[in-house]
This record gives sequence, structure tokens and C-alpha cells, in this order.
Amino acid sequence: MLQGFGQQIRQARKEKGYSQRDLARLVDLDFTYLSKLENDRADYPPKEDAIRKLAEHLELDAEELVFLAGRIPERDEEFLRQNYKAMPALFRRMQENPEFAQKVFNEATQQDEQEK
Amino acid sequence: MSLINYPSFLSKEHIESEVEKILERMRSTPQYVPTFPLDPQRVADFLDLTVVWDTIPPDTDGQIAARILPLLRQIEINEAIPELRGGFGNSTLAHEIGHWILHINHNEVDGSSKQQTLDLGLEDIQPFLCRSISAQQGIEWQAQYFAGCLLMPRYILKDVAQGRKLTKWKHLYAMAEDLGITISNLKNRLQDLGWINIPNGSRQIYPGRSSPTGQINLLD
Repeated sequence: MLQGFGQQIRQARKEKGYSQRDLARLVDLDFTYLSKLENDRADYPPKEDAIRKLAEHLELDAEELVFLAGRIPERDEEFLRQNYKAMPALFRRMQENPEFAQKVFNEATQQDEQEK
Repeated sequence: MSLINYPSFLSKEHIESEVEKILERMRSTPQYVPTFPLDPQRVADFLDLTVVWDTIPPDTDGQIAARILPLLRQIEINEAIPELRGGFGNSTLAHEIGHWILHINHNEVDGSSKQQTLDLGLEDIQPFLCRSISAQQGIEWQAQYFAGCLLMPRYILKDVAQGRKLTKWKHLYAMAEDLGITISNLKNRLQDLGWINIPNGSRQIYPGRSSPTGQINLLD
């Protein structure tokens, strides 16, 4: 479920020189749960505010980390609700047609780059 | 060649020297400079070992405190044992790191990992199990002595002992708290060093290689 999320957290924590207990204290998580997150063994992803705290202390991109954890950012929830009928079809089409998915991703990334 | 070494004898000097080598290497790596009380997790990070707290189910021989998965370079600590969350857990993790350094054949681990990556059909490697750190024989004693040296290097003990009397339990408890370890770990370490002596079944602490007044020369 959290493939990639744990590795990013662990690598960034090590670079900062925090132990699991240090970081867990900073972000109000139990250190045993953090150890599971780092090793992709957690049964559920952390809440969005915890992910944002992790990103802040580890200097990671919070938006990317939220998605990597399998969460939808709260600010996008209303948009999803408004378009709830289109979303399953969109995701299905992207899964079934990788070229289409890549085109959507490329355009989104280009737009992001231009806005920066 | 096996993944696990079972040396019949390792001297205290050898084990202490292995610990000192690791601490020295950490001292020269900015984000890993050791601070005390030592969190052994940082030592595991330095050695590129992952640590995970998870439930380890008992097997037919009973409860398992911790285990090492050599090819994953991973140490698992049993979160189902509540006592492991505090100083006892630090000692257990340091103990497992001791097994990793003293008893795991690292060349063989690297070779086996590569072979597994190439999918050459190796059988699953069994984890290295640790049932109880109270077993004070053979490799368990060696790993526990390693843990004592890691969590309580002599120079740190000397610092922490400043202004305290090693023959007073109250002072020993304060030292244990300063070091983030259990009183049992501290007592064993001080006895191993010959700084105190507590006869079996007694609560009386006698100075070790010290003057009859109880003043201990820590610079021996």
C-alpha cells in the first residue's frame, strides 16, 4: 500500500540524523508505527496532518508525500465530490490505456512547471 | 560457508574494540555523532540496518524477543512484549546489533543477497532468532557484552559516575536513568568492568578494584 513512501521517509530521516523515536516525537506518532511505515508494513496510512508534519521535519514535498501514502489531500476532496461520477471512469481509462495516462501526466507536469 | 558464525570464544577486549571501532566511525560522520543516552536505532541506521517493531508470533519453543533477517539487513523487535518499549528495548536492539556485528557473516550475506536478486532459486534463509537476553552463555553472552559496551562505553560511565558513589543503589539508579538503560544492565556492566561486586543473592554493593573506603578509582 505504501510502497515508496516508507523508503522516502526512512532515507530522509537518516539524512537528518533523527532516530525513529526522535522523529516520532516530533510528529506525534508512535515510534513503532513509524517503524512499520518505514518498512511498508503499516496496515493503514497516517492521517494527512501527520504526513504534512513528516514532510515539514524531513523537508520533503508534502503534496507528493500525501499522494504517495495513498491519501487524497483534503483540499481536493470537494473537487472529487463534485466530479465523483467521472472519476471512476477516468481512473479506469488511465489504467487500461497507459499512453493516455502518460499524456495526462505529461500535460499536468508541464503546466506545473510553467506555473513555477 | 554459513550466514551465521558461532565463535566459541571472543574476548571482552575484542568485543569492546569492535564497539569502539563503530563509535569512532560514527564520530567522524556528522549526522551520526553518538550522543548519550545512546539511541541504538541510530547505530542501526549507521550500519544500514532497518529496524521494525512488529508482532513476532511465538513458535513451538516459546516467545521470541527479536530476530534478524540477514538478507534484508533487518532487525525485528517484538512489540507484543511491552517491557521492550523502554530501556529494556534499547538493550535488546543493541544486543541484536551485537549479533549482527559478531555473528553474521557479512560477506556471505552480500553474496546471498546478490544471488537472490538474480533469482537463482536459493531457499529462504531462516531468520536469526533471539528468545531471551537473559541467556548468558555463548553467543548470547557475547551479544549482551557488546550491548553493554555500546550503551555504556567506559568514558561515558566515568562521566556519569562523577560525584556519585557506585556502592549506593540510589546513585546507580540515577546513573541508569541518565544513560537510558535498565538498572540490571548497569549493574552487570559495572560488575563486568570490576568496578563493583554484588554477591549472588545479596543487595549489598561492594567496591571492586577499589580502596576499602569505597572510593573507586575509575581511571584504572
